[in-house]
Amino acid sequence: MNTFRNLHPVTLLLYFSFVTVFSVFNFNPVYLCFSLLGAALYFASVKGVFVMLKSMAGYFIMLLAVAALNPLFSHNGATALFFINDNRVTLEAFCFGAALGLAIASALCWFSCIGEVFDSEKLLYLFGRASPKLAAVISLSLRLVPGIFKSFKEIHSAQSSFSSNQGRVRRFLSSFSAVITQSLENSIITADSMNARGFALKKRTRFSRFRFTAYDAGFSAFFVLLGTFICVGWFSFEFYPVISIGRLNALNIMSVVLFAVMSLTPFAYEVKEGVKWKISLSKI
Amino acid sequence: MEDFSIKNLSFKYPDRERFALSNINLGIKKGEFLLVIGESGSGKTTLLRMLKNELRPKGEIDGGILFLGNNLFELKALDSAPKIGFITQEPEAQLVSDRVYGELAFGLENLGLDREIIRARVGEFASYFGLVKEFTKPTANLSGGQKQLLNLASVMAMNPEVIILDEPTSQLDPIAAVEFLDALKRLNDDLGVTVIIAEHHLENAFKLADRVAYLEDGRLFCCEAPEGLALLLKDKRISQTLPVSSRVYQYLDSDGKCPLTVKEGRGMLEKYENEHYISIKELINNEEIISCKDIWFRYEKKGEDVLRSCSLGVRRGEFYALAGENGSGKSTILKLIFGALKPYRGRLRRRSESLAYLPQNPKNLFVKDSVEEDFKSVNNSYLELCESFGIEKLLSAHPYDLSGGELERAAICKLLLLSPEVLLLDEPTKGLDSFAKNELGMFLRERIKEGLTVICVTHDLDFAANFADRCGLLFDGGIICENDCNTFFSGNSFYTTASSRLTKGIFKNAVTYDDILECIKAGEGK
Repeated sequence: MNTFRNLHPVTLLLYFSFVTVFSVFNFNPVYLCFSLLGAALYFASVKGVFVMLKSMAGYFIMLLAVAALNPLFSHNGATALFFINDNRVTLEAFCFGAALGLAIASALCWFSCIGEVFDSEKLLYLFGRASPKLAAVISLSLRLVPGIFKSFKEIHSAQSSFSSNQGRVRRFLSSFSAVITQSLENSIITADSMNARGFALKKRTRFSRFRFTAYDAGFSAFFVLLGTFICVGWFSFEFYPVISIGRLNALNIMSVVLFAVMSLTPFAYEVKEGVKWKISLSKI
Repeated sequence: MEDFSIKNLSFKYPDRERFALSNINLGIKKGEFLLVIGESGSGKTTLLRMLKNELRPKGEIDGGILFLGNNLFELKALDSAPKIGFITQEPEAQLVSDRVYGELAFGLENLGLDREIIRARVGEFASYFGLVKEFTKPTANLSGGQKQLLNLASVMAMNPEVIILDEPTSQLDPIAAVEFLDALKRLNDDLGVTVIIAEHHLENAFKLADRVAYLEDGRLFCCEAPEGLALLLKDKRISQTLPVSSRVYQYLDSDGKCPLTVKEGRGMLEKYENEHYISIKELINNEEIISCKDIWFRYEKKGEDVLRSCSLGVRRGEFYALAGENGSGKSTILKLIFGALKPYRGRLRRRSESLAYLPQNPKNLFVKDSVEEDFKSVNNSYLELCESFGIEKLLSAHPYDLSGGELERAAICKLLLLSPEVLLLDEPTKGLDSFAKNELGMFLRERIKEGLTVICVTHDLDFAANFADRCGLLFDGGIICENDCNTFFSGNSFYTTASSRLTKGIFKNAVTYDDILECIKAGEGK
């Protein structure tokens, strides 16, 4: 089934940079609500509703904590609710804390979506565009690092027979040094194998399984357009000294609507493709 | 047309007195399958590495090598990399990429080929080598055999003229080794690529070769078709490694062509009648030092059972060999017996608590800069033991500089310093040549005489048949058959030694080469 993550990595990178930037550098609760909603719905469609609700519960507690703590540090704002030790606790500071919590929650939620969408293959592809040689080295370390952990475990457990003769720290250290020696030995073989296949003889190309199609180009253009119009119609939300929304015009409303469209795109994409899949199955 | 012509080639490593290669003359024809044999230290690896510019060892070179008629030493790097492929014995360490397709593409990327060409080439070779299912998987998830096939495939993707392989199957289990050799033969037949391969297990490789070159102390003793070679090697120690049919042929001095396979070899023995047999030795001791009764084990709560109602009894003072396919749970049983894992159901009783466990990679037992320091950290009275085992000359060496066989023996010695009553071995013959295996087997037999009990997990049926007292086969989570070695192997028709297959229905219970000789001698005595 076609899913959002099957889009080209460059398109995905573009999309996720837009939404995370809009979520992190923004305390406008109107935008943030849509941002969190879109991220949560998409996360649920990837990992299941239960996992989403579990992480949402965590975000909600965090949001409350930030909202409660912010007035203790920030005493700006015109509307004093009560006093603690002669310090004003203001409604505005409380609201700003809630908005801050919302921003952090939606950013975290988008980051978990990114973690699901970008596997090592996509990351490597994006880095590899800068330098194919660097990409080869990253790929090598992606293989080596887990290998080193694995062989450390093996050596450490092999040493357990002799555990009565040495302390825990010394056993750990000697296993560690053995792992380093073994990895160095192996790296000679790896280097030979790289040289034997002509590494660094001339400028490398970089092979990947991704193809940038018209479909991906269309989506990229769509995201860029949305991003531009969202910025153009951006409306600000002031917390201090009193909570105030500037005068709303048509552009502002369009900006919010487009932002909602953008945030909900991944979820809508999954739903649409799911329906399409069901229909195409029922036609068989 | 010759791919390589080696003329008067001599080579000496710096700071060594002896020539590693002396005065080698050899022509290797296009499309030839050349097998290089020789004892360890005979110069096989050196010779193969001389043929690959990127890997040639540093030292004094005399004589020359022509590659397709031109001086090999002056071949351009951009021609040498793709035209001459090289594969070594370590399946894992040779890999470069984290993903299978990345590994296949690695060489092609280095050549700066266009992305669409790489796509086509990579797809083609993944299909040819049966790696389609694994195409997008991490290379770490592959089995040893698949890793080595991937190494072969990624070299083949560069369209080489020649592939050179240095003991490529030594780290693989026997089934994977046969698959690898078959793939190699298929490449040679289908594409006409020249193959130069060094091997020390010849049961399967010998029959594939067009010619076999035998190296002795850095000299080329002869280079002949395999059928002819067997007779030339008659009095050499190396003939121990030949296929059992060829060895029996050597012994019998029969007329006609030398047999290379079991099928060809059975004809020689047909004249011996069915009355010779190997009598089964009675086992004296019946006391079980380890007994497992109906044990169940799984690694993860929701995983599959690795062992299902598995029962196993090992008697004091015996050598018990446990055979079985990859992933059948052999190593798991060892770890359960050792106590590193616990069964979730069933009873496991040890009559002795002093057990020692040798992991699959004996290197892992050594953490110091010399064998001596490692021994010292266990027990200060190591000298006596080492002398009685005859390994005192290894003491000053760095553990990683030891040969496979030496390392294995040193590791066992380190464990014996703990004076265990039961020794658990996980694949001790992996990567050893026939001579090292024999030495290891003899070494273990002596320790058993001194009262040690050995439980050994192995793929190596010949080793088990030669040295073990009893053998069990693990399948589907349990021991499906268990017996003394002669009964065990003569009862199986496929999962058995080549000697047993050769003599099935001719000599009863003969499962090793020595058994065959015993039967033949008994027949001649009459």
